[in-house]
Amino acid sequence: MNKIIAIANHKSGVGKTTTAVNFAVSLALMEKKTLLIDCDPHAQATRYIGLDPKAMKYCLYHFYKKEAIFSEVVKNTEIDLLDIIPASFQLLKIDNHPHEFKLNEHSLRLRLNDVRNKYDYIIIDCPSSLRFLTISALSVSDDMIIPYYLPLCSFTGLAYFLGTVRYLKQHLSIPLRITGILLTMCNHINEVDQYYPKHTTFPLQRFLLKTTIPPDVFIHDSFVKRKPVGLYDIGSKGSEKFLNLALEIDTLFET
Amino acid sequence: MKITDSESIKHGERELIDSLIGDLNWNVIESILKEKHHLKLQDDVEYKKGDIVVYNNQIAYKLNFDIKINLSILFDRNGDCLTISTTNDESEPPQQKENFNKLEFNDVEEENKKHLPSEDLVENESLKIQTQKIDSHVDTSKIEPNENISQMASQIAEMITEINEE
Repeated sequence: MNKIIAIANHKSGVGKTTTAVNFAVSLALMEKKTLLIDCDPHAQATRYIGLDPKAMKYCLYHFYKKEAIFSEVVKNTEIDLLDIIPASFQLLKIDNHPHEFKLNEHSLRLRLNDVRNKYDYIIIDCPSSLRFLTISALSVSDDMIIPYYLPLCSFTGLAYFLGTVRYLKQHLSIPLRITGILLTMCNHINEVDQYYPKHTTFPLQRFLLKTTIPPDVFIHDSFVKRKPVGLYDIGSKGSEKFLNLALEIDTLFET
Repeated sequence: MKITDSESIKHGERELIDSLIGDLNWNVIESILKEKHHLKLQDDVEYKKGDIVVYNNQIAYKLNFDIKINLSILFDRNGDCLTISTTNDESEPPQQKENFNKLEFNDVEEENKKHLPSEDLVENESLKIQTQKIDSHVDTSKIEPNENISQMASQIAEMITEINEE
């Protein structure tokens, strides 16, 4: 069974792109045929995977506009089982004026209908907003992982985000589920207790993914070098944690 | 006496601004920001507004973005960068500021207020979203930061459960 998973949070700087890229790479390293879709106009996932958005003839923008078919926009990566649909800043035009391109919230879903069965997993890196691109990405997704950086995120913000997601789900009739909250730049799930009074977060514990992504210099360096951490240093703590995340999610879906 | 449709002019200008944004070389902008202001772009850049202006007696294009800082880019018809500044940057000489003389103001921020994505979607028959409806789905009175954390955690857990069960 294939799955489309959005990596989303309206808050920026919480590790969405880092998670999306390294999670996708880890799934591919686990021999799962994976497609990464960079849905962010800033195209950081495209750069992180080692591609130059300026050098791309076609990207997600052209796929949305039907100016290019899937085989023209999809790019192979260094990893055999990982493909990517790159982004470019042109996507901002779509985000600002989707109606001018005759797009609606189901456009991406319709475009991906014919190809989703080619992959075990499709991972979507969402922008930090709740504008058209994010709504469109959530509409096509079966599941969502919410990266949560404890010092930066708040329950108030998370509640707003989830309220919007719930509204979208009700009104778009989409299958979206929340797989879990991923603590980023966090060594252990118990670090929650440093930010919130102990036991107060108990109701949320079951939604926290067991894997956390620790602050790791190798992850940081891999981002700077534009090489996913699994390729930059497979033996690093960061790489190990993303492989754990891929295993945790894959196991979750298999059971 | 009108000699053409003002809407078509506005539309054309917006197309031009959109096209200019799409072709910006962010690598160059990032390196200038780093070199001049020791600033680094984060992964969230949101277009705010675009203007066609007169700068030192020539036509120029001014694009504003919301990032971690406020960034203003000014370049001429050759695509050469004239200035890049931020709201925190006080280095811009006052006389340069006086040279800004707006020809037309395409306030995309205002446009965005009229066409928030949720409102864009209102135009689709399949989805009638109203921002206030979205807001109403979160009872903010119950989730203020200083309120009981445990209550907020329970509320979030309930929302996730609802989403997953629907």
